[in-house]
Amino acid sequence: MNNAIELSGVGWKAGKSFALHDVSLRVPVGSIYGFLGPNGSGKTTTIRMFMGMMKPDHGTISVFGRPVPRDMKQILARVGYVPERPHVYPALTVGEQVRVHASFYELWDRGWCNELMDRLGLDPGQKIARMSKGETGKLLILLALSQRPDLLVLDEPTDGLDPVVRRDVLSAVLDYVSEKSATVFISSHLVHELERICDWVGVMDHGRLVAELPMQHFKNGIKRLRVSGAPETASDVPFTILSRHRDNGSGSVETWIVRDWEAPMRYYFDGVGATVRDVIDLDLEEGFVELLRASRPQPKNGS
Amino acid sequence: MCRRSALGLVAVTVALFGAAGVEARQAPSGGAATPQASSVGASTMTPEQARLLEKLDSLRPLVAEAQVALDVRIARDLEATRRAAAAAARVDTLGVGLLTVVTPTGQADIARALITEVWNEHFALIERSPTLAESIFVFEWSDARVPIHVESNARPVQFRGSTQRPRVKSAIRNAIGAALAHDLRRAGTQVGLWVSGNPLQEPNLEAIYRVVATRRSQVTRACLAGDVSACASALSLGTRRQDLAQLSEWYTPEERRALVVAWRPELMSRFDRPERTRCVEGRDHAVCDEFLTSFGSMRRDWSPLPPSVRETLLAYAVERGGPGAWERLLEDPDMEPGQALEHASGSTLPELLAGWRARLVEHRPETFEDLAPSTGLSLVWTILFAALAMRSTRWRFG
Amino acid sequence: MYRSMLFLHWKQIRHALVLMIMASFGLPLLAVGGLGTPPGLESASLEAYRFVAGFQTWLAAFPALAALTGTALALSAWNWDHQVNHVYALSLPMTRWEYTLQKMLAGMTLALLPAAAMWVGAHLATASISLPVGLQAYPNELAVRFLAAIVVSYAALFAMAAGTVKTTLAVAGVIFGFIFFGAVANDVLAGYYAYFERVHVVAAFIEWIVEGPGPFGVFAGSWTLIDV
Repeated sequence: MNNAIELSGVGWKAGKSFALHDVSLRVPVGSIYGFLGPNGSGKTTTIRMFMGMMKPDHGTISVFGRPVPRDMKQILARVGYVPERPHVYPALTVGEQVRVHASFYELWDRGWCNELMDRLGLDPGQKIARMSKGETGKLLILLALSQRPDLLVLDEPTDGLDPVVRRDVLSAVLDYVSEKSATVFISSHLVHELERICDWVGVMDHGRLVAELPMQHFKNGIKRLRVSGAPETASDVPFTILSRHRDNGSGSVETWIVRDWEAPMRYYFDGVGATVRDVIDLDLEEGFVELLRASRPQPKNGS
Repeated sequence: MCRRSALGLVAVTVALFGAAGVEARQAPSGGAATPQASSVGASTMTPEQARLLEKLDSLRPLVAEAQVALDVRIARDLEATRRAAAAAARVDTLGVGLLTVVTPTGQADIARALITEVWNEHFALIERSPTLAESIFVFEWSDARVPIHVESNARPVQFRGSTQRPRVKSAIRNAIGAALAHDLRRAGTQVGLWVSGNPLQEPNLEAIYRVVATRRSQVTRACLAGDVSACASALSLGTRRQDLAQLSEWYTPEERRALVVAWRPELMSRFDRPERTRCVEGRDHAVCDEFLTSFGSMRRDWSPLPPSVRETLLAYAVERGGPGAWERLLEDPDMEPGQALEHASGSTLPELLAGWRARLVEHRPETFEDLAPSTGLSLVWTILFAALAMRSTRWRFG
Repeated sequence: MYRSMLFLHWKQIRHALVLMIMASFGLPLLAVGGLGTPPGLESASLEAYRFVAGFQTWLAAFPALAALTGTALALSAWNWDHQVNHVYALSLPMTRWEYTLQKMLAGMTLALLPAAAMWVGAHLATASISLPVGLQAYPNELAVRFLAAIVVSYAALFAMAAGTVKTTLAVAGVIFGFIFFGAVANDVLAGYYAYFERVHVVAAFIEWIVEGPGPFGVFAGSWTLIDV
């Protein structure tokens, strides 16, 4: 078993408005997998699928090699989950919620829990209903990490949190990962945040997985090229063209956004009589945007 | 106003009009003579004529009223006759046992079937009843009400169509029983005075047991314990006197004091407050006894058991006596209740009372008799509901 | 796990449950209060029949309290789960049926509290009066019936609340639809078939539910603490 999470051809439809279309993704064991996508792209729905909370219309899902939902009980004993919206009981105090949660997990680490509670600055006597968003976010991380999970599933864990809290949360996660070599599946639309910690990235858009590749390839492989003299039709291209358009007022100069670029690929343009004037690195966010743009259907009278 | 009087009044009025008619017709304004018109013609009238005319004028409102009343009366009689005719055309008259039953045409079969069932079950042994002979039972069991007109001695058994069958049968039984109870009263029998209400209605022996078991009287306790002579005393079969001796037989001194305490306080107002206190606080039973016996003139019945209990004994005696028992009960109106019951049942009073007591004890309510089965059933349903709750799958969204 | 379930349910309903416990304890005492004769004293209501009759006026309160308690326990069992859309429950390492069963048992455990209060109150009530000759007290039987009534009404509503809102509305819709349209249909059919003139199917159905072998038959029996 090499993959902590594996989805194959998973599809699901809700009315006419939203659907998952044949999603196939693989999360390697021990990786930190960043799950990117704009709001409404299907990230949370995909997470609920492999968490056993929703049933796909077709396709197969497995976690740690065990089929979902048949072995869900065994799977969830190894999964720490932080949902998009807090799922804790507002009328409880922090201490009560921790005690309740602990009773369901055999591997609960009380010492680690207390340590985290101090580190994250949580008060056991505080009522959850009166906690701020940041404090609630910290509590959810605390609950997930104290279980000593093999897989951490974090659905937009830092959404709406201030930078200080965000840093605390992510550092707690990273510390745990470095100690336990756990797998982390973290979804977010905050690209720059994932850039620092993830080693794999999957990109969702409109219910489809439009890209899944190592973070290094994602960061380094998407480039903006300024090309002059390029032919109308490009064939046998060694890289993936995400988009190309003529620069305004610059004659034959075009801007190409490409993926999987490597330096020797310049020679392709020599072969077609074109010249690469510039190769510009894109940061993750720019690359993400271009990737999404390329995956969406172009307007009929597009630029 | 009756028709004849109205017609008579009209005739008199017409005559009066006729008498004054000539002058009235000659009045310049026309119509009936008016005082002014009368005064125009009055100059030619004699004083006697003028007086008559004035009298006639005063009678006009009365005439009009009479005419209206007559019209209303005629219309009402016509309507009643029409309805009676309509009803007569849509009802059947049946004979069941000793009963005469009137029922809407479409109900004849069900009426006959139900009433026959009830009669055979409870009253088949009764061969003669003056009240039944002159009563008409109106039976109707549907939502389509037919106006049935019978004379005043009609005994209705009428229900909406949605009423359940057992309830209808029970009502039939009670209606027949009520008619038969009238036999006792019309004959002026002593036994009729001894009971009241409807002795042959459907008995609720569990409720009767409760009454007997909860009476605060030494004779009722002895009766339940098996002493049939105590039953006779408790049921007031031996005597109708209510002197201190009788009260002492029925109640202990403490129980007699309890009767006084339970009695309406305002009737004790004739006694001094210290005396009342002495009785109520239990220091002087003699004062309580004086209260009780002084109320004799108010005809308060201190009997331990109410007429509703006595009715069950009468019903039992009739049942035990078989064919002719009811007729034997009515034979001698002056017979004391105990003797009448013996004569009707064909048994001695002790035998009768023993049988009655045994039947009563059989009907002792078992308050929580259903507890074990209903609790078990609740457990079964709880498990079923639990299974339904657990049946729902993990899939919660979508 | 079961203790956590019990704790969660208690946290949700503790205020209302305390009130119900007090009501269960006090009801038998209220029902006999003023009827009885404290040992050594007399009062106006000395006839035992009036004693029993006086208690009858309180009879409806016992099953009503049982139904109310069961209902409150059932609705509170799922309240928080519905608030968080069941996400917490679904993320726990237990099957749904295990979760549901433990939750149900937790609620039934809490149901023991008002039943115990009823038992204590009934015993105190009968001890506080001099029962007239011919009458008996049934405190144990009353408490058992009370508990059974709470449990079955809890279980019925728990099962409904365990489903989605859609399921609950569907079940309620079917029941009320049957009652309403069944009554109308019965009246129409009564015009054609004599059977429907004599048997009202809706009334028969309700009778089956509340008496006899139906789920709420336990409500139909005797609720009297004092009787012959």
